[in-house]
Amino acid sequence: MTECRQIAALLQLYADDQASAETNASVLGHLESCGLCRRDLQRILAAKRLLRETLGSERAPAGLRARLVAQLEPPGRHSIGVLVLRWLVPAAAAGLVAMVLVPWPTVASAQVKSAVAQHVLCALNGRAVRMLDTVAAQPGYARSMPWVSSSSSGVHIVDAHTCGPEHFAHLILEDRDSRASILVAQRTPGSKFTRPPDVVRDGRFDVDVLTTATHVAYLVVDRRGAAGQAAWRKSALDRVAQFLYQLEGP
Amino acid sequence: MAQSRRDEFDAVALVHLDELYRVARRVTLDATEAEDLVQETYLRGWQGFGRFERGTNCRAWLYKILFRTIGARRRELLRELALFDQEPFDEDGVVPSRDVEPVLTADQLRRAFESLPVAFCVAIHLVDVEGLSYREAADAMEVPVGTVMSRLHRGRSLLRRHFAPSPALLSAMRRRS
Repeated sequence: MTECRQIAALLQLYADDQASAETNASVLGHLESCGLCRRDLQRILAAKRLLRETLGSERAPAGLRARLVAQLEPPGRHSIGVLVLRWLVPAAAAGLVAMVLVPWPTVASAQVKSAVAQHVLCALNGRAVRMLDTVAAQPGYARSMPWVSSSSSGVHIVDAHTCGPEHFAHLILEDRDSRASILVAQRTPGSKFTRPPDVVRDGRFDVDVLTTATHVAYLVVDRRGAAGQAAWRKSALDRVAQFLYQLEGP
Repeated sequence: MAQSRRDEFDAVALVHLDELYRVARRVTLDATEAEDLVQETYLRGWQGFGRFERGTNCRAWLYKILFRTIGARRRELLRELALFDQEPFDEDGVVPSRDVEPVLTADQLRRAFESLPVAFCVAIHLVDVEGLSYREAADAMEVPVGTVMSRLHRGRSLLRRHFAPSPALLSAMRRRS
């Protein structure tokens, strides 16, 4: 029994695989002849296993992984950013694109570049439209909304999703003459990082997101040229907000 | 060169994302704060990856950054982690009897675990759930190995108390046998 007491003090070390070889040998020697201590060891191991199985299966949210991957991009690897520059410079020169960024964090330039890249590509290249067919199959777009392609008042929502890096909610709307691409992001108090806000509440679009988001960016592509673009740009957000309120219904 | 460094970071650092997140959640009990902590940990890690020595223990290095990040953001958590280290510990009533085999469900265990002081909770989580050695856990939290062992012992003892049978049940079982 005295030996049992001595061994009991070492069982947890043995179970944690932290005992010396000498201690392991003496524990094993005792266990061969003591059923009670064997049962104690089984109990300790079962508790460890249960803890591991119960608490060790939780995984980091997919959004966190995606944000990290986007933020860890080494400089010079923004091939998508290069595409944006190729797009933006000639488009801006031609007076086709208006972009407003209010107020994006200056510390996360890679993050903003990546967002703007997606923003522009989705809006200008019609990528989002094509993606409507396969929206469920796109991991980055898994949270696309049920109101995709809803239409009213000549403006319709082409797509809504969280962007690949999972920093933003991305809304694309268009009318006969123009297409607007709107990014919204939220930074909660005390947090250093932005996240996509919840743009859907109870299965419906939450219009408050446009006013409560801490970061909003929109881009307008005008198919009618510079003159029409200026007028569209002036009222774009008002029209979008008005339309979305209409969509929300009474 | 930059890309190969990034691939290396993926291979040796990002593979530990899930476990760092679990530990951060265990410390903060808050999913959003845990995400922030882990995100900051990895950004700091990436910034300092040039100084990381290839072939050494990247996991331990990340844990150290995580706990330093926790300390920088939440000093009160660090104090809470050390709260019980100097307290005497009363063992009475916390050692279960050998007479019964307590039946634990996952929910019971989770609830009991989350009711423990955070210092004990984190020590048990690092060793029992994530499989760190005592030395690795001590290095992560930057405390002596003896402190880790003490926290483990106290935490496990308290955890067992949740499942120790009541005296009435024990005497009833003895009568039956």
